[in-house]
Amino acid sequence: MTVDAHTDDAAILALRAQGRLDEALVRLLDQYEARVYRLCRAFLRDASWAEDVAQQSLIRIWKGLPGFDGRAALSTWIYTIVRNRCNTALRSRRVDSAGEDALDACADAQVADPSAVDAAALLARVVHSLPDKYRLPVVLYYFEEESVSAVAERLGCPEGTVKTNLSRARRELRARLNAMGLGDWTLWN
Amino acid sequence: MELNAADSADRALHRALREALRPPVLPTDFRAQLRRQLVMQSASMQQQAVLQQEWQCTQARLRAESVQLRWQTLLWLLGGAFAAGAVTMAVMPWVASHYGARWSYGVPVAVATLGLVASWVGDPRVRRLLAQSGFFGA
Repeated sequence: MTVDAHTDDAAILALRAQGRLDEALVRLLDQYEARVYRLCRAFLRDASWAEDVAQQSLIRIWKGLPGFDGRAALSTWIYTIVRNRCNTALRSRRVDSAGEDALDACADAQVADPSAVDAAALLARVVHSLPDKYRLPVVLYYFEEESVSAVAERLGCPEGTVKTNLSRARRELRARLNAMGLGDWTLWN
Repeated sequence: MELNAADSADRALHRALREALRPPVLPTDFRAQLRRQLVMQSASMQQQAVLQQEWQCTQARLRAESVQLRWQTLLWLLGGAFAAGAVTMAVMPWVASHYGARWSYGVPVAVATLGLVASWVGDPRVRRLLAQSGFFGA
């Protein structure tokens, strides 16, 4: 969290308190809408679902802003709301996740001709088949300009935990790619 | 040598992941849609506030009317009691002179009993009990 971000957060809160709602909303969205959307995409994978949940989260954040007590940083409060929304959305759709599981299972299959596959799509699929504990740090790391501190902030956990999970996730990814016959790193160049 | 290979593999995986996991771009109408939803929600909240205010006004009016009704009932009771006293004072000497002194006690006792029984029967709980016991018939 940079000094600029703190200043922006303070400005959002001040504008909201002064009743300059439109300016406060623009500032809030400029600062957070893309981040909230990326966090939702990382959690939910599906673009339109993530868009819906991001919108709901931002509405909830906007409505709850007058009650924000400043005990934590505004960003921490915002990401907590988004994570909770995403988890609620995931729980409510868990019953429909059989299709996704089948898709994930495809990632475990052997690839007959490695040169013929769309490497990026396949890798994304393998990443999405990882358990959330590993998948979320990896996805967010690349979504958030490879910043461990940003990932830690989004996930509300210490940077050390993120680093550990990133390293384990890479190890797991390599193991899965090896199992699929895609362990030759020259394929990925 | 093995370490170098591992490094190269790591770097290759890193590059591949960077390619595969590009940050998603915000949908073009995201903000416009969000603003529309906020406007809709704020309109519905305003509507809710108006309804709540109306409900509070109705509540206050009903409370005021109920207090007024209680005062009215109390005044009716006082007036009725004094009127009954006045009627008794006027009628009892006539009853005593025409039917004897015993009737000057009998008539008020009979009227009081009649009033008490009538109010008792009028109580909804008693009416329900009587209805359940079949007192009023099928």
